[in-house]
Amino acid sequence: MSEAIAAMWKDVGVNVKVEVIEYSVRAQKNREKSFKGVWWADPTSTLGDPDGMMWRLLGPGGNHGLLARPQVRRAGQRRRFSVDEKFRGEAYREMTKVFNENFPWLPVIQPYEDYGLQKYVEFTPNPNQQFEIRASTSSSAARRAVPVPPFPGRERGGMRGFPHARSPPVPQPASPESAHRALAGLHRGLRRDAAVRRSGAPAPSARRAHERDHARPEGPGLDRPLPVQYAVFLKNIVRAISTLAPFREPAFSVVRGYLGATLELGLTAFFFAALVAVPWAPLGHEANTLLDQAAMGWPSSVSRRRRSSSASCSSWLLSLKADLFPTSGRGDWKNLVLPAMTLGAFTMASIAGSRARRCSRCFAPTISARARQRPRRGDGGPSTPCVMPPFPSSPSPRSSSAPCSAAPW
Amino acid sequence: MVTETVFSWPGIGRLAVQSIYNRDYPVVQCTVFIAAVLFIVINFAVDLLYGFLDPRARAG
Repeated sequence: MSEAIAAMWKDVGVNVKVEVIEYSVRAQKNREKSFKGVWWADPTSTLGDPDGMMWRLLGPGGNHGLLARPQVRRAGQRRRFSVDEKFRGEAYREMTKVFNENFPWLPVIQPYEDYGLQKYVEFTPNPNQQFEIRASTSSSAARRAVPVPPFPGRERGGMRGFPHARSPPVPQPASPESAHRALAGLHRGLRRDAAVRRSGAPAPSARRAHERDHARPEGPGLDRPLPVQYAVFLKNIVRAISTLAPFREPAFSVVRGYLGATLELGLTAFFFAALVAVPWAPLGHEANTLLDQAAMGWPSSVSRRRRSSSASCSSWLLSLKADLFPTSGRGDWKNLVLPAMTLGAFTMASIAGSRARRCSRCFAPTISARARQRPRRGDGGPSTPCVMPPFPSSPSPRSSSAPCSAAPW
Repeated sequence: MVTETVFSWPGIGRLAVQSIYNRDYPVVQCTVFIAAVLFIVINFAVDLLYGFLDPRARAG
């Protein structure tokens, strides 16, 4: 990371030299205040206690000794011999206030720590840029027994860079009762495993857990009634999704964050498409009218590429006219119009294409017969590319008036 | 996917394309899974609505 930072400094014209020095040399330079250059420091001690930074380094007599002020000394001494978490937090807050008022150095970079971990991995971020996952390996009783005190000044949220994480704990020895409970739980588990190994058959609880974890979805049961089969099918789907979802974290969380934008775009495109299609449908539902012939003739006569091109070009021209181009992402309604119109136009062109294919299948004999009877170009005959059957006046599920099951709209 | 990529719309389609470029397989799987679920659900809803709106489609 130092080399990367040095390269960035060099990009802006600062000649940087990365030098690795021994810790004792660095401490000596700090004490003598002869350190020249950028100092890379952790915000706290390896114990995760703010005392490492606030007192041992910055306090009087520390490596830096930058905060040798009376109020810091008083707060540090009072906090030093106290086990009261609230009192310690207030003392650290007071020292932080003095620190901020007398800033001893200029921060150059404060990296954003970002880690990708499964949510079921229980971990605690350590301010010393280390992971603390030992808590997840102990028993829950021991975890409950060890209190997690608030980190001074950061009680409301997690640490910077850890929005979903707990505040880092100050290491404390577990009480004898909690340690005894943890050991007892561990022994029980070991005895159960040993019993399983001796008997060769799993214990009932272990068998139930195994069956629960490895339960297969229920089969379709083809001898059962159709609604039951369908219900089983849906149940298996729901079970598969509920089983799959937790194992896809945090990818699901990431995708969920983008789902709103997609739904917003899709619904707006649907709105624009409906804005065109809904007024068109009642006007064109009368068979053999000019509008109906235009509706059927356009997708039938124009090729798919030309349909898509004309749809996108018309929407883009309209957007240019309305000053909606170019777009710059989500946030302004104007940025939504052009993508939604384009998506809606492409969708409608696709629907028109499928309709045209269906139409050509249904009316292929009719069209070919008409083409045979139709006079050639220049003879002045009527041109009707395709005619759809009229809507029935009353709902008739198996009406013979419709030559095929394809619906016109 | 094309629309979101072309217009820099921060949706699932653009996320899928970026994930493919980054070889982020879990996110790619999730986007495909969610897109498939959305496709099935919306098609199912449209099929139900279709029969409701057009009586001839109920014969089916």
